[in-house]
Amino acid sequence: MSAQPIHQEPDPQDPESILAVLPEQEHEVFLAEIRQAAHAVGDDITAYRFFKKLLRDWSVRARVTRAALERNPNYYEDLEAARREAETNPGGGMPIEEFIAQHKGITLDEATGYWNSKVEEARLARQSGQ
Amino acid sequence: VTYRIILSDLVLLQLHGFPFRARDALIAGLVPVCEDPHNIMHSSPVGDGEDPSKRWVLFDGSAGFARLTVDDEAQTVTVEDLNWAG
Repeated sequence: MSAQPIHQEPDPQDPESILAVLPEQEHEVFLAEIRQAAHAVGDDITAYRFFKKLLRDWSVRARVTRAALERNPNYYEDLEAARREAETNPGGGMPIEEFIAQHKGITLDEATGYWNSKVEEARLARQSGQ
Repeated sequence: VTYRIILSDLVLLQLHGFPFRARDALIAGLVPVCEDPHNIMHSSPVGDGEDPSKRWVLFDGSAGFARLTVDDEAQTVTVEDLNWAG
């Protein structure tokens, strides 16, 4: 019995796969981040964990951005126009606690308590994981 | 130090089109950022990292990402814009 070649799907976290999916407008920034992270690994091998995370995150970002561009071929132009509009008429944005209050239909005090409890939970989880 | 999270006007507009679950996921995704926004395991520097205030983060598992600006003096993190494909 001879060995059969195994068909392998391309690894979505391979930089070439990411470039194939990522719109061209973002290639430069992707390559700059990968270059920076790869150099960091050369200096300190513990940076490999971040390098892997960066590839994983970019594979997601490539897919999400490609989907946005397929939904709206003017995605980048619209984003730029919206940025300009927001800069022209700045309202100062909104603190996350206010957004939580609106989103969940609760008071600002309750939203602040909710946010602080989530931050505290994350802090405890991180401390117990260390 | 806990940084205050601010959603930009553009993000507030973008969030109008998001379902409840995605908004919840964004809130959850910003929790680790507020404590240590420069931690590379919480958010990534943009490009070659020349401007350390510019960062980005994923949220909702593998469905969305957000661009951030960190102001260390004011101790704020502003979510500048979002992209979500859930």
